[in-house]
Amino acid sequence: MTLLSVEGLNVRFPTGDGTVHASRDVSFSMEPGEVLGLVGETGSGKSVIGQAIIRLLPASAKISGDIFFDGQELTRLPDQRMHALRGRTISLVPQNPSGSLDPLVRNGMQIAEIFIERGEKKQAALDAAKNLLVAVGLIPSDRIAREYPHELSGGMRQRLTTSIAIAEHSRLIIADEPTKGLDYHARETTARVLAGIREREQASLLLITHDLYLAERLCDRIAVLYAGEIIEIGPASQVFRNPRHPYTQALIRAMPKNGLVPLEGQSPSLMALPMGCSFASRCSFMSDRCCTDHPGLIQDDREGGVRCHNPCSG
Amino acid sequence: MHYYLAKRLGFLVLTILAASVLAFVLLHAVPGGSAETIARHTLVGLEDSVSDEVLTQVSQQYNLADPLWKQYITWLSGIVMRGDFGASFVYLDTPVASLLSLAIIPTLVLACTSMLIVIALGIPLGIYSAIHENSPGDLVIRCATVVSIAFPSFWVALMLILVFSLTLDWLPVTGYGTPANLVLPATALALHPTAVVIRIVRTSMLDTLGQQYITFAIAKGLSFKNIVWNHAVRNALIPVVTLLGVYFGHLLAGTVIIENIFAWPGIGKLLVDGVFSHDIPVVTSCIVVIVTLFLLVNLGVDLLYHVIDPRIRYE
Amino acid sequence: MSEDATAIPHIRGGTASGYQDRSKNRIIQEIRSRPGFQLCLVLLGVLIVVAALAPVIVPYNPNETSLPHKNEGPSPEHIWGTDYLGRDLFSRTLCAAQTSLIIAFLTVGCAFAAGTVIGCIAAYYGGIVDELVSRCIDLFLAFPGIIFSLALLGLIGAGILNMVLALTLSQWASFARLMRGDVLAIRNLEYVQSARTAGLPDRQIILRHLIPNAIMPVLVLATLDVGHVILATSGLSFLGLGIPPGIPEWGSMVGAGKEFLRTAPLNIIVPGLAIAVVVLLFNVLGEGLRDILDVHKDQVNIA
Repeated sequence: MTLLSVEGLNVRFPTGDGTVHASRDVSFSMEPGEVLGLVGETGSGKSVIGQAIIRLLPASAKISGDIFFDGQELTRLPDQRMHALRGRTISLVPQNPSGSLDPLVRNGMQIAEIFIERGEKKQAALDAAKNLLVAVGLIPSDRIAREYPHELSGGMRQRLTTSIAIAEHSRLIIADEPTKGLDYHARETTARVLAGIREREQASLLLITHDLYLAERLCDRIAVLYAGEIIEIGPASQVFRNPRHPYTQALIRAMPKNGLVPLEGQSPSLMALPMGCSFASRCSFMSDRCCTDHPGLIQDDREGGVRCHNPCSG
Repeated sequence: MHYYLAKRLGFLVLTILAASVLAFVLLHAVPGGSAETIARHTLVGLEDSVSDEVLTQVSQQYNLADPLWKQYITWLSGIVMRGDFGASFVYLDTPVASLLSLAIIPTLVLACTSMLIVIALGIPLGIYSAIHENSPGDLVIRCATVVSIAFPSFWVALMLILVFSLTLDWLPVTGYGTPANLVLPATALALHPTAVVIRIVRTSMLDTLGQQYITFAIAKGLSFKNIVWNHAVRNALIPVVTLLGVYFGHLLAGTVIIENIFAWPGIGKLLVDGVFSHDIPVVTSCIVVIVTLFLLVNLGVDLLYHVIDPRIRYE
Repeated sequence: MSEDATAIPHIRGGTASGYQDRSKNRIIQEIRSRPGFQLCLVLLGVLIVVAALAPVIVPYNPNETSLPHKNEGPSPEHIWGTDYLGRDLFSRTLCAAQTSLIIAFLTVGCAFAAGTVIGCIAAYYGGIVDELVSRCIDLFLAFPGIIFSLALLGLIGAGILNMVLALTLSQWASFARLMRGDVLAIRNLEYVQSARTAGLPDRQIILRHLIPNAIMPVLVLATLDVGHVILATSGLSFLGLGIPPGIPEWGSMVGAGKEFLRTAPLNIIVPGLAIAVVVLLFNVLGEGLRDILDVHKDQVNIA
C-alpha cells in the first residue's frame, strides 16, 4: 500500500518582482519502508517539497495539487489534524541543525519535551531522551543531555535533531539536507546514523539532498529535480548506472569519483522560466523542439520516468 | 567568574570617578561658586553688600581658595573616608550626606514602583501584541505606544492630577508616605518606559517567532502554548532584560521632573532645588549618587543576563 | 522587463552612479507605497512653514498681556482662549513652535556634526585615539545625560544657546558611537583601502568616502533624536530652566500654567498637545526613514 503520494504539486511564492515557481507539477509516491532521494542543486525546489508535505511553508506560499498520506489529503487537512500528525506520524530532520535547536534548552530536554507534551513524567521523559542520544551515538549521554546545543559540534547537533525526528517512530521521516555544511567525518557519521534508522525503524525516509554519495548509499529510488521539476525518477541503481536525462548524466559526471567534470551555465531563474525545456540552454543534445515544447514526464518500462524529448537509451 | 566580576567592578568604580570629575569640574568651573555668590544667596541676601570678613569665612568653610583639583581631592576623600559629601551652600546645619540619605529612599520607592509597572504591563502587552500580530488588539497597542511616547511625562502627570485628584477626588495631589500618594507619580513616570518596553518585547518576540527553532518546534508536534511560553518568550526576553537596566536609568532621570510636580522628597527634587539655589555641592553629589545607582543596576542586570543565557561565558 | 534588470547589473551597475540611481528609484518607490509617511512629510512641511512665519501670521502679540481677559475659554477673539496673564494661547502656541524647532534643529545639528566627526576620526585612526574617544563615549552614555544638562543649565543660566549647549552635551555621544561603528565596518572595504593605497590624504578619504557611506543610519538617528530633544527641552523649561522670560515655549507654558490647573486647564492642555503632535510627527518620520532606508533596528534605538 502506498504511504505517500504527491500528485501534481505546485508551489509558488508571489514576490514584489514576480512569482517564484519553486516547484512545478511534482508527482511521486513512496511505499512504506522505502527510501526516496530528492536530489538537485541548491534552488532546484527540493526543500520546498519536504516543507509542503509537513506543511511548514511560509504563509505567503501558494500551493496547488494533492498530497495523499495514508489516505488523507494533507494540503486541505484542518490545521489541528495536521498538527497532530507532526512529530508523531510525519517528522522532520531540519536543515541547519544549529538554528533549529533552542539555544536556551538543554540537549536532553530538546528531546524530552516531546514526551512531556504527550503526558510523560519529566524524569521518565529524560531517561527516554538519553536512550535516543545513545541510539544516534551521542555518548556519554548523561553529560550531553545536560549540556546546551552551543556546546556540541555541527555533526553532533545534526545527530541530535535526527534523534528528535525518530523519537516517536514516525512513519515518514523527511530529512532536509542532513549533510549540508558538515565536514567529511561528520557526513560519514550522519550517513551511518541514517542507514541505522533505515535498518531499525520501519519508517519511510524522504532524503532531500545535493549530496549524491549520500543518496547513492541510502536510497532505494531517486528523483532528480531541476528548476522545480522532477526531470528523472527511477530506482537508484538504474539512475546512477544508466542516467537517461542529460542533466542527470552531467550531475553524475560531476561527482569527484567520475572525474569532476563541471556543467557549464546556470539554471534558469524560477521567476522567468523558458517556454520549452528548462534545461535546453545547457543541454548538448538540444533540438529545435526543446526550445518550444515543454517535455512531459515520460514513463518508461522500468518503473521510472524521464522528462526529455531526446532521452539517452541508457 | 570572580575575575569577570572584579573587572566589572573596576570599570564601575572608574566610571563613577570619571563622572564625578566631570560633574565637579563642569559645575565648579561655572560662575556661581564664588564666595560672594554663596554669601549673597544664603547669608546676607542678594541685594546687600558682603563684608570681607564674611567672604573669608565662607571661603575657608568651603576651601574655595584651593585650586580646583585640590577641592576635588578633599571632597572625594571625604566621601570615601567618612561618607561625607561636604557642606551645603544653603542648608547650613545639614551636611549633604544627610540630605542625600533622607532623599534616596523616596526616589528608590518611586523608581522601583514604576519599574514594576513597566514590567507588569510592558512584557505581557508586548507578548500579546506579537502573538496576535496585525489583530485589532495589536493595532490598538501599537498606536497607543506610538502616541504615548510623544507626550511629555510632566504633562501626563498634570492630566492625571486634573482627572483623578481635582475632578474625581480619588487620589491626593501631593504628599509622601501612603500608597495612595505613590499611584499618580509612579504611573506618570512609568508611561514612557512602558511604551518603549512594549515595542521592544513585541519586536523581539516577532524576531524570535521567525527563528528556525520555532519552526522545528512546530515540526516536533509541540502545542502552540508550549512553543510560545517555553521557547519564544524565554528567548525573546533575553535582549529585553539588558534594556530594562537602561530604562531604569531613564526612570531615575524622569524622577527629576516628576518629583517636582508631586513634591516628592527624593533626589530629583533635591537636585532641582539645589540647581535653583546654586547649591553646587548638593548638585554634584546628587549627580554622583544618581550615576552610581544607575551603574549598579546595570551591573546587576548584566550579571543576571549571564545567568539566564547559557551561551554567555564569563571572560 | 524584470529579467533585463537582473540580467545585466554588472553592465549598468558597474559605475557608482548606476548603483545610486537604482537605490534612489527604490527609495522613491518605497515612499510612494507609504501614504502615512507622505502625509507625515506634508504635515511636517506645513509645521515648519507655520513655525517660520509664526510671528507674522499670529493674530496677537504672543507676549501682550491683558489682565481683564485672563484665563478665558475659547471665544471668537481668542480661539483657544487666553492664559493666566490674558495672553492669546493660540498665538503663543504657534510662536512656541518656532522656539522648539530652533532649539531642536540646532541641538541635533551640533550633536550630529560633533558626533559624526569624532566617531569617524576615532574609527579611522584606531589605536590610542580610538581608545580614548571610545572611553569618553562610554562615559557619556553610561548614565542619563539629561541630568547633566539640567545641572549645567541651572548654573550657566537661561538662554537659547545655553539650552542648545547643554542638550548637545547629552546627545553627541550616541551619534559618535553609531558613526564609529559604521565607519569601522566599512574602513577595511576594498575601495577605502585602494583610496589609501592611491595616496589620497586622510581628510579626503574621510570626507569623500567614509562619511558619505556611513551616514545613513546616523541620519535616521538624527531624525528620531529631534522628537527626543523637543521632549527634553520642554521638560527642562517646564522646570523653569533654560528659556529666558519673554520667549514663548511649550514646556514653560505648561510650567507656568500648572498653578491654574483646576480653573484654566487649557493653559496646560494646549501646549501639551502641541508638543505631542510635533514629537509624534518627527517620530513617525524617523521610523519611516528607518524602514525605507532599511537601516537595521538594533543600530538605531534611542527611544
